[in-house]
Amino acid sequence: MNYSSTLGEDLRFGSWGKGTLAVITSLFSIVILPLVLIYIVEGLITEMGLEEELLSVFDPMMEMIWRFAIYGLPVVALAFFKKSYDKGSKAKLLFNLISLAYSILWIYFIFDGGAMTISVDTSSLFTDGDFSVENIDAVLMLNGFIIVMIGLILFKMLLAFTSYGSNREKYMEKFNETKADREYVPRIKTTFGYDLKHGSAGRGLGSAILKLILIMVIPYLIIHYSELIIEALELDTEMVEIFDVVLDLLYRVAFYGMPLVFLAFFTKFYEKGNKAWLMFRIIGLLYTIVWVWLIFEMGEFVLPFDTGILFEYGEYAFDGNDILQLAILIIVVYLLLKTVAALLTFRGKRKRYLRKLEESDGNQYRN
Amino acid sequence: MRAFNAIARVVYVVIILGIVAFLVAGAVPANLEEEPLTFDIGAECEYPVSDSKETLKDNLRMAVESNEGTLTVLKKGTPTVYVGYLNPEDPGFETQLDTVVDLIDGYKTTQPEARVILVDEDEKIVRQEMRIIDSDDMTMHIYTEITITNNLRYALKDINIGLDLLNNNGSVDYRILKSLPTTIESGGKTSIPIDFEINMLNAVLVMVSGTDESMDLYLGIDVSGKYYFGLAGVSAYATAKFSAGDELPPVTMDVEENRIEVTMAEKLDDSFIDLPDDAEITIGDVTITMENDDVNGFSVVVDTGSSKTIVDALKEQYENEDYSITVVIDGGTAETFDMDKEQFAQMIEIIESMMEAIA
Repeated sequence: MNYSSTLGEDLRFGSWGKGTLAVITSLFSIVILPLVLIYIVEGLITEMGLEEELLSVFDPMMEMIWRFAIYGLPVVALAFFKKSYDKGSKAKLLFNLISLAYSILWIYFIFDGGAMTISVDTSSLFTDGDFSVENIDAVLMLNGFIIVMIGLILFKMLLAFTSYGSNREKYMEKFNETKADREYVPRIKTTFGYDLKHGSAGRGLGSAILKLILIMVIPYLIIHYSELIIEALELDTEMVEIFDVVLDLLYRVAFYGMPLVFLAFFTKFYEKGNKAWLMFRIIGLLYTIVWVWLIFEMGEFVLPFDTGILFEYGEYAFDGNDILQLAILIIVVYLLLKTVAALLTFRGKRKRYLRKLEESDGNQYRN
Repeated sequence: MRAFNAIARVVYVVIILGIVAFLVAGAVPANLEEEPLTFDIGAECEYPVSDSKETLKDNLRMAVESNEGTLTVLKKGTPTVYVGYLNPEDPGFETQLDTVVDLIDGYKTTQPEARVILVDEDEKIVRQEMRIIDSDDMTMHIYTEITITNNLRYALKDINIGLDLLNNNGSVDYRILKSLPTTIESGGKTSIPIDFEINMLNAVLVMVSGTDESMDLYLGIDVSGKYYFGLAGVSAYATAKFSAGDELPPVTMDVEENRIEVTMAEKLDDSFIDLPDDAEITIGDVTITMENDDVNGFSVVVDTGSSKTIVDALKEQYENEDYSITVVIDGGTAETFDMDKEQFAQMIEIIESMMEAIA
């Protein structure tokens, strides 16, 4: 490893896909999930009619979660840069250090500088004749913990350097490969027919067997031994009815999943950048959408039990089944995004595929 | 570098796991059948025979209300001497109480150092929420204990308890109790004595110094402590109110540097402070006249009777180290009490705060 890339070069070697995925996941965990949690807790308190007693107690907690979410937005943005670069990249090291340094500020904001104040109006809670406890003001002092957390962050900064050092060599190999891909000007072309004939049966078989086990064998075994399972778990009548619905679901998973096994074989059979790979990948993803649709009875599936979930927003009400439909919709959108990602991957890997082909024996494909 | 990276990562994971284990262990009681922390407020029912009959009666009545069944009064010693019994369910309870108090009072001349205790049917000394310690008419002296049992895995450190007397807007507050920092080891039990005196004159001044029309008196309870070897701590402040009554008529305040007059067209009910119908207090050049009856309502007048300001007059006396006050209650005979230096300073501070708040 003689050549070492510069920070400027490393900054141009990021992955939009990885970065975007990191932003989505951190946006979910840092912003959306905490805000949903606040909404649920407030809803539960209101539903129980305990606003007066409990809201003031929960207020500091809610404020802390708000601070976590709002001051966490830069962490979400930095997650893009942190994750879009590979280990060993100077850009990753830089953004890791920036993100960790910001985390110190973030912790400081979340815990209100280490002294969190809680004020509870207790005038309606503790009253005895002429005597009443009007309010309780408390300050939680967490300076010690903040110092410990800062210590851990500094340790993580050290880990960022060790990770950079230990992965630099591997990164440079990939860097040189990618650089070669980018600089490569294809001098050959392949037809779809040619691509279709060139794959690896070993890889395809491995992927197909894995899918076979997950999609068909496991559901088959559960269905086949359902009586034994019911007996072993000592399920009552109500639970058996629910279990029957689950068995139906598994049956559809296995039955409609058969094409996915074949598609898994062909998708892995070909290398990324191969036209056949793109075709099978897209067919596989689109069929997965159909498969999910069929499993859940074309949107008609109803949960066999009452989840007890009910969210009301104005004139709208959402129960467990609505949440299931929403989850299915999210899966479908995710699969559609993966289809777009497959097109981008193909475009990105096509040059490498052709370059390798040319390096191995390019003369026969030359224009 | 790879080996170093791997070792550093292992160390990091071990530290994280260690911290998580440390936090979880600290939050879960050592014995899961016990509450993490238990608090008990109360003191053993033991009184010196030298207490006034009124104080003895109040304490015995409170003790009986805090406990169930028949209680026996014994004079401490080896062996103990039976004095009498008290049963609140008995229609003749008041007679029982008077008899017992008279019998205790009888020991004053023969055994002035003796003490009496109150025991239950198992001959165990019972407890009451708080005990009045005999003191003069100007001072309310109260004793109790907060017993904390720590069933957590780490010690509770620097437990501090403080009590403040406040007015409604917090412009006047003074500390009447400050406990010594206490550490309660894991599995340990500690009683923190709560022994405080309230100067009644200062309490009335705090009450009338409020800006609202409630004439309520507030008590601030300040509790702080540390846990997790001092890494985390809490400081809580609870404000308790002793209400003087509901829907009181408007309070009129006329404040000048040499005269303060607070009046209300209705009598103030006794709450935290037992107010006399009529009191005249003289502190050097300053006269405090208080009336609280059904006819004239409630009024307090603080006056120097000259152009000298109240604060200057009081400070002059403070500098002369004369902390005595003369009190005439309900037209009785004049009694002279000596406030301590701190209480006198607090009184000046309260009046200064009133002046500042109203200016």
